[in-house]
Amino acid sequence: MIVDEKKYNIIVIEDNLGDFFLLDEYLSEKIKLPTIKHFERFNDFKQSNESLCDCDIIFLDLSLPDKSGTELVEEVLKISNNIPVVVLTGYSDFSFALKAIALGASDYLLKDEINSAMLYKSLVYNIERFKNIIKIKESEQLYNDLFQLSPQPIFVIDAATLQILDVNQACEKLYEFKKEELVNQSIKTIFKDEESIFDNHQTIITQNHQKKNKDKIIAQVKYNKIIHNNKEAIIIVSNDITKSIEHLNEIENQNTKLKDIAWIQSHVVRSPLTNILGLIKLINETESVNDKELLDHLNQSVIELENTINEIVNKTHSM
Amino acid sequence: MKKHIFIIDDDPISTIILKKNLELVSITQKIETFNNGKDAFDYLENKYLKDEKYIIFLDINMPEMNGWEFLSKCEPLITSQNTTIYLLTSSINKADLERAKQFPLIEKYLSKPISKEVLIEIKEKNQL
Repeated sequence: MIVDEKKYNIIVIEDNLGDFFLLDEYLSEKIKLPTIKHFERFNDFKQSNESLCDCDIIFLDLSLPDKSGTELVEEVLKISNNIPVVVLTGYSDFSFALKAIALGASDYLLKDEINSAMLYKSLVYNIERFKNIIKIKESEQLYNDLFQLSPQPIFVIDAATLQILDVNQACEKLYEFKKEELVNQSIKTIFKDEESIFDNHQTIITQNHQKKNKDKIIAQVKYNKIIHNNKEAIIIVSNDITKSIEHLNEIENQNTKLKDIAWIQSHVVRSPLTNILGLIKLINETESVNDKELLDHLNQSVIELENTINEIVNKTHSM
Repeated sequence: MKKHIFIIDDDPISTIILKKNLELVSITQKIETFNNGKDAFDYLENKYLKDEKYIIFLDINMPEMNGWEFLSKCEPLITSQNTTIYLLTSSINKADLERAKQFPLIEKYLSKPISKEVLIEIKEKNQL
């Protein structure tokens, strides 16, 4: 007979000592060195839950003196988070065994039918299967996190009704709505001014959105069709570009001012300057150094030039 | 043929400098001065004659009607046959120079201050 030499930590919660000894014996037949922890009461098990982390499997009798039935299964499953729970029951409770599976138990065994082979098979099968279930759960969690913890605000909406089906945390943060406030609302709660939301066949659109406090933001929106719970849905990634647009406007403003200054340089500064040059040329060519009129004009042009330069300096300061 | 010389410029000092320079190169024709494009246009609208010759020194930047507006208004009224316009401006802005090329009425784009040599050239070309 083959004996499994791997180490197993097994918890048995069973108040009937006869049943427990039988179980213990069956396990020892197939496993070389099983570590079996026995609890007779639910509360004993509950109070010693530190030892749970290196436990491989739990066998649970469905009727204990201090708790039984649905309540017992639920409580044990809550505590034994990542460990398979196999329920033990008699013929009379068979229908309840099925209910336990529906609640999340991994397997059931009818006490009257248990033998060492069947027990061993259930043990190995449930431990291995549970490892896969945990992997799937982790993968599900990962995808959920990719959605929930994405730094980009994301909506999932119903393609037909435009109702919001899900939003992530970044979405709640950007639009200052709680998830519960958005789910089942129309996406138009957010896309306030958008008459036609997705009928223009563009995958990137810039839109005006409204936050909870009615503040407007400018968002660039990308979207894709997906299947969500067997329904056609649209996943929308929103990118708040309000700040960059404001920044752009500011730069455009400054550009306008720079153009103003360039215009002043070209027209207003050069005007008295060319007069000064022209007057000096005239004074030289006509040798009229003492011409009072020309000198007055020269003086006037110099003052004009100074004023214009001051004007430019002021304009530059205000930028 | 009677020849008119116009100076259209809002800057009185600039106008004085041009006038004195015209004297220096012995251009003796009577000179009409206007403070802006509108005054000059109103004058032309009433008194422009096809068989007389007009030589116009035009500034760009003026109140009321600037040089560009004046040119646009004048285009249907006058022809380069008997009218020569010198755009005389302190602007050294390339955009202004480019814009000047769009007006066939403009003979030349001149930067202030105008030199005697250029005026002599203008004098000879227009037989003033």
